[in-house]
Amino acid sequence: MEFADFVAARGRALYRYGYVLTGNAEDAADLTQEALMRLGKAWSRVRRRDDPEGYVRTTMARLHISTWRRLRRERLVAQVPETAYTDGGLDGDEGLWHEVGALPPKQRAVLVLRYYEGLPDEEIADLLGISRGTVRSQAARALDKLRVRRADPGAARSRAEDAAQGAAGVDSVNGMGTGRVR
Amino acid sequence: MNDRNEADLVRVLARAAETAPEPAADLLETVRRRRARRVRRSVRSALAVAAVIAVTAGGAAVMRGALSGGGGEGPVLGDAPVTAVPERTERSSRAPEPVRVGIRPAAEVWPQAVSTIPAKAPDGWSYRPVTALSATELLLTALPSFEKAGRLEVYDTASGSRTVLTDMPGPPGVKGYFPQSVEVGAENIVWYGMSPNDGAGWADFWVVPRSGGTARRIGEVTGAPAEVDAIGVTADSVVWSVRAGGVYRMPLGGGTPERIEGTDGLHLLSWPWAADVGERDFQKTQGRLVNLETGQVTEVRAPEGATTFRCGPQWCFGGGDSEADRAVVERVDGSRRGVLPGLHARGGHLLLARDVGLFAVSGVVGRDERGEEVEDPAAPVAALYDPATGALAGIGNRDGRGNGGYGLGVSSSPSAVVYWDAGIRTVERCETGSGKAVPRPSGTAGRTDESVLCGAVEQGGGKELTVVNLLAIPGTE
Repeated sequence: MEFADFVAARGRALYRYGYVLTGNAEDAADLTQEALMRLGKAWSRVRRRDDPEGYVRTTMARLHISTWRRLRRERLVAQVPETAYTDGGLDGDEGLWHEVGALPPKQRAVLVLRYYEGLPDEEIADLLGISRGTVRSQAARALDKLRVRRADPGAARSRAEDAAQGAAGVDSVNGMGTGRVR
Repeated sequence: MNDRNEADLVRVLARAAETAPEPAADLLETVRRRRARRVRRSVRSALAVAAVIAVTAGGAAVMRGALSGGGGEGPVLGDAPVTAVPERTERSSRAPEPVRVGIRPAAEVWPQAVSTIPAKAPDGWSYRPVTALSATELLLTALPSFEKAGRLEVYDTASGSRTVLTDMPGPPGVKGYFPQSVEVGAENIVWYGMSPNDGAGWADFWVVPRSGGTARRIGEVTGAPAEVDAIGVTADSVVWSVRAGGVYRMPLGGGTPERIEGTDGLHLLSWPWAADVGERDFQKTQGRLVNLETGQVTEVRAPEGATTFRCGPQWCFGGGDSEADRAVVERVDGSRRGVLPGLHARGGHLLLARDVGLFAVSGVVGRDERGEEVEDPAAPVAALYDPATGALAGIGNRDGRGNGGYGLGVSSSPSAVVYWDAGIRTVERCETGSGKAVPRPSGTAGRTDESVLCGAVEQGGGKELTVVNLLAIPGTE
């Protein structure tokens, strides 16, 4: 398969994944384009040896949680049409969707990989290049913020060092960051 | 709201994907264009390295060279748009003068309000600014470990001296206890703490005089009143609001928490002011501003199209979801509405102490011949707007490559402090597809290792914080 065929076949699905990761159309397009661009560079190798779609999805998740992305996101000119996205199909879930959108990128990425991509924590850890403990604590912290009850009571253990999230009032440019000055 | 479970999350994410709006542009075509642009840029990056190293020797040159050096055609994360080239090089390669965002830095606009403070206490605990107590006094928490406040200190920016106000101890026998937001009143400073590990709704409250001393525990609460979202202090009580809305009080001497009548749906802004939106009410515009002492209710109305709208006692700030939606400022009564060009309200934290507005800055100053955005690499990360004087001041640390940031003081009410670590630089760290870390690609133009994936990480910093004290801004005192 050629690169152009891959983009034609999978671009839309990748864009959707980007939309769930980023929460808006312009960032989703930007993220998808950037990842596809990198895939294009590595196409001969990836096509031969690896799974192109997995490569792009990994790239997208990693890009999404990078500092660069958090800030770049803030400075993009909107490229979507003026008509507002009305959450038409969300049937009352708009609140939760908006709150997901307000999560810091890493927490959001972990949730998307776990609940949209359906990956186990081990794979999420490998994919994002972080420890399993971090995956669990990031997920727990995010679920906490969203006030989502966990089916697995054991998951609550990892909240230990996340406790001061509320005290961490320092914000990044997008206003929703967890961390210190970036 | 409290009966969400994981299945809800799965459903919401899946539906969001299904209902994602159409992408604006053809993906393949855009990818082609961007690749062409990147090749062009990589040449200029190589020039940049050479030029900078030739001009300045020493550490700074190495740093700049390293930053620009990743700009080969390899998969470099930090690659910013076309203007992310040091200014000098723009000239030396005879490119047109870059257009600048016309926002002067805070240090120029309000020199008396900007100072640098140590990033750490002498014992190594990290400082995190809370707010300002006066034009020269900053309230800081000192953190012995990640995100856990252990001590309150006052730093005097005039004399450069520090005073320990009090320790922030945990209650005996409570595991995983973390002090949360601190709030300053006329006489006292209060804060609350939680123990999020046990899952049960529980919080406690502490008080110390502004002059310092031993912190005293006021009392603890469980259940609905323990879902604290904001805190304040009056002459005789600690007051707080909860996530679901509603304001409670407890005497500073301790006692039973009492829900203040008529506060349903209200969240403390800064005592005695409350609003009908809380910090979690993303995408909800404020409609009411209430003075809990006088009972005065002011109805406020967001301008059409605004998805974010927050009012302090006198001024309101708002905007839409994207940079295309302009930032709006107006008085609480809707008068004196104005639009702030080049700023936008994405992010949600609009309101600071003294009714100063905080907006993100659009660094985009135009488009190049290919229609790609051209950004001012020196644009500030964000801007403070003082409606009382109309002054606009740039804040934040930006490294000239599109990376940067700032922090907000962590007081419960809108803080009088913004700060950043000007020493932090963002560099690329790369690893192979198998997850093995590799050295960053060298600055040699054209060197490419296609299996390398890079991410931005921070380096440096940790020595000093640059702080803007809003109580030292002229005309708002």
